[in-house]
Formats: sequence, C-alpha cells, structure tokens
Amino acid sequence: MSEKISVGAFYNPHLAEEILSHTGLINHLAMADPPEPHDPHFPEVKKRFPLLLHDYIHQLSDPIPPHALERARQLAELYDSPWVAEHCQCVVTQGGRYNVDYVFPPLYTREMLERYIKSARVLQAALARPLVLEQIPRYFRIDLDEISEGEFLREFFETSGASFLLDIAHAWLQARYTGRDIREYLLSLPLDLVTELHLAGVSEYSDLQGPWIAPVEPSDEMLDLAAWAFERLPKVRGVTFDAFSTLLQPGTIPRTLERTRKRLGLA
Amino acid sequence: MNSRDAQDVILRLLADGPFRGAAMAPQAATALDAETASVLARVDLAGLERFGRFLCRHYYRERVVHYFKYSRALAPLTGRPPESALKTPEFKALMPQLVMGERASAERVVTLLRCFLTDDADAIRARIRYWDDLVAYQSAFFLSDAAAASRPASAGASVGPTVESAPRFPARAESVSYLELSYDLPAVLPLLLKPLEDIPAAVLKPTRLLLARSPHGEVTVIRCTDALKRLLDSLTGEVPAAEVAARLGVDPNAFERTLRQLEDVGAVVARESFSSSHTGSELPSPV
Repeated sequence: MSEKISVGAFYNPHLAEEILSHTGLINHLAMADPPEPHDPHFPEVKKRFPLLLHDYIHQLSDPIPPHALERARQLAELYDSPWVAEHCQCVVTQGGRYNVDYVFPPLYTREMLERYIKSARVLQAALARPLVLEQIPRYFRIDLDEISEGEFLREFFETSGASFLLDIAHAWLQARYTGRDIREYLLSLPLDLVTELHLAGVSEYSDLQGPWIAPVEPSDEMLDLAAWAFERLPKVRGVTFDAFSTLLQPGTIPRTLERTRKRLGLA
Repeated sequence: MNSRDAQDVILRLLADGPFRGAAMAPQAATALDAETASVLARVDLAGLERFGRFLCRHYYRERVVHYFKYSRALAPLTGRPPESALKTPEFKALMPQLVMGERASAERVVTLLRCFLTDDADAIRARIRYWDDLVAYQSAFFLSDAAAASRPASAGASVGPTVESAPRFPARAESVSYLELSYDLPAVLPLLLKPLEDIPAAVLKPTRLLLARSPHGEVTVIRCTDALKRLLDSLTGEVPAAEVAARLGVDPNAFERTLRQLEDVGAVVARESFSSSHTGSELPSPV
C-alpha cells in the first residue's frame, strides 16, 4: 500500500462484481476468510487490490500451534499482506471444550498481558510481517481486571512491537455499555499507535436489548466520531469499512466509502 | 485461580446454556464450586445472560447460513429461509438447553430445522422432488460440524484423535457417517447456487455419501461406493493395513495410498504410518 492513506472494505464474495466495478473508490480489501477454491472473482480481486489478512489466526492468550502459524503464513503470502490483523480476544477455553465462536475480549490482567506479548512475538517472527491488534468491546460488566483496557493495549503494543487497529464502532459500544463519554474513552486508548482505522454500523438486537455491530452503513454520528478520532491518529495508514456478511446489501460498500472519504477528507 | 482460568469460567458461562442457568439459579450459590462462584460474584449476571443468548443465536445462525445454503438459495421458491427457524418461539425456548458446539445440542437444533423445512411441505416437494434429501444432506453437514467443535481441542487446532489415542492399525474414524439418499443430489447441488430459472431436476438413483472430518475440523463429503464402504467397515484398528488388503484381495500399494487419502480427509485414523510412500489420488473428488 502506498504512503497515501488507503480507504477500503472487506471482501464479500457475494458482492465481488460490485467491488470490482469500484476500483477507484476502493483502495484495499481486508480478507476475513480465505478465498473459496472456486471463487471466479478472486484472481481478479487479487490482481486489482492490495489485500489485508484479517482472518482468525489464533487467540494470543494461548500458544499458537504450528499449523495455525503455517496457515497464517500461507495466507499472508497469498495476499502479500502489508500487515496482518488479530483481535484482542480470548474466545476458546484452554483445551478447547468451549468456544463462543465470536469476538470476546480477555480479562485485562498482567498475566494475560504477558501471554499476549509472548504470542505476538512468536506470530510476528513466524510471519515476518507487522501485526495489528483490534480492540474488542465488552457488553457486560466484569470486575476482574487489574489494569484498564488502554493500559493493557499500550503496554502490549510498546512491548511486542505490534500496532493498533482501532475499531470506532467497537469503541462506541464499549463506551456505551460502560457508561463513559466516548471521546474521553477514546483518549484513554493508544491513538498514537494506530495503523488502521475500522468503521462500521450498528443495529438493535433483541437479545441484547441494545445495539451491536451489524453489516449496515455507519450512521452520521459514527462517521463524525471516526473523523474526530482520525485527526488524532498520526500514524494511520488505512481506513476500512468493517462489514463482512452474506447479509451485506449491494450498494452499502460504495455508499459507505463515498461518505467516509468525504467526511474524513480523503476524497 | 489465575486470570486465564477465570476467563475460561466466563467463556463456559457464555457457551453452555444449562451451566449458565444452573449457575444463576437462586439456590446456586451453595451448589457452585468456589472458583465459579468467585467469578460469578464479580459479573453483571443479567448482562451475561443477554450476551449468552445473543452468542447462541449468532452461533447457530452462522452455521445455518453456511450448511443450509441450498435451502437458503431456494427460499424465494419455498418461502422457508432456514435461518427464520432461529427466530421462532420454539428456538427461543430451546436456547437455555443448548451448549454451543455440542453434538446433542446440534441434534436438537437440527430437529427444529427439519420440522421448520419439511412439515406441511407437500407443495414444496411437488416442485422440488428431492427436498427431503436436500434437507437430510444439509442436516448431516450441520451435525458433522458440531461433532468437530465438541472435540477437546483449541479453535483451529487438531480436532481428531491424538496420535496417542488412535488405534495402532488403521481404523474407521468416529467422525465418519454415511448418508443414504434417494436422488443423485451431488449432481444438482452446484446448480442450486446459480440464478434459478427452472428448478434443476435430480435423477432418482440411490446414492450413498460419506461425511468425514479432517484432523483440523474440515468436513468433506464424497460419494461412497459399496467397495469404499466395505473397505472402511473392514478397518477395525486391530489388523495391519497389509493384512486388510490381502483379505480384500486388493493391491497393497494402492490400498495404502487410498488409506492415506482417507486419513487426510479424516475418515481413517491410525497411530502407525501406513507406508513410507504415499502419492497419487484414487478417491473421487469431494462433492
């Protein structure tokens, strides 16, 4: 990717034709899943767009097994990904009996931090590419943290050499469900270490009796927040519309990227 | 308890509906082990319950969308998008009993899905004669995923038997299941995902499929001939490969190559290697 700030989206195979017809609007694509073996569009997608590895590699709370490292290495090479992304998550129990199969953040403790740093070093050494870590919101209160999320992330980045993937919708949800002012919360995060910015939409979920991430356009409020944060990210290199779902409707990606470019002054 | 263990308690509370229900019951405080109780005392229980339900619905929706993709593609014709089953009162009532990734839970969900798709469905069958086969095929796939996830292994890690737990000689893997269909379904499956002008017809022909999980949890479906079934059923884990080949009257080298390929897709397990040279492919292409 060039030094100019790149604006992109996630590759959604069911929208491949639309994506390929907007090469001027879309600078890069994040890959949440490996391409299907018979995806007729992927060869052209690979030719036209820089691709970012944004798959599930492994939770950094536990040692990364060799086959997971090898899978990540192969995908990073296939995409020639300038950096690889993981989530600040811990979703599978030790031994693997229980798996929530969805992003869920770790407890912010010294012990967990050491685990994350150790795994991040192994991962970066194996892939020989920079790592970015995306923060994950917590929906319900857990009083088991030893340090704040911001302290956890900053120490993780500064010690491991990885950098920050700031998801603005995740931040909005975290602030909402902890009753904090969103801008004050954002300032508690290591914004100076952000490489990539994600933005996304939210919808109401009956099970949650409130909003959560959804494959829809971000609201004007979310874009305003992204613009506010964007001005405070001195090292940001990419802005990505984070929506990957078979529910994502045609037209959503182009409209969102046009609005994003306009609001962030990246037209 | 360290924080990693505490995280595991929270993850189990989220993934295991009956465990969560029992932990949150009024009389639970005295029945819980001390570690679970100490975690639970520091968690917003109402929020935990809501998020557990959200995760449960999300978990099964993802799998219904993936494994019932053919029924989804046909939904404009049938009026029954399979994921709608997860919005019914019946599914809501089922959620507290479900453990994400557990086989028994997947069977309960698949029973609900089957009812949703096939009850009072004569009008659908009149247009799509292989409708019941299609639902059975997708259900088998859905269940294979659950069996994979219920294995004690980390996400993305090996889910097959460990080398230590595998039998010494080749054996049919526990994950193997057969599906007997009335129609030659594999021939029409790719057509169902293309824009439909007419509903593709399937040939009425008894068809047996073999479902197996690879060591990393990938489910493969292949056509299963009588010979392949005989071969798999002859693998008890107690007889060397060469001896099985002799009993079946097949070339031992070709037999070993076939075993290796079956091992790759998870249909065969063994602690000892079959042979030092394993090349070539004699298995039919996956469906």
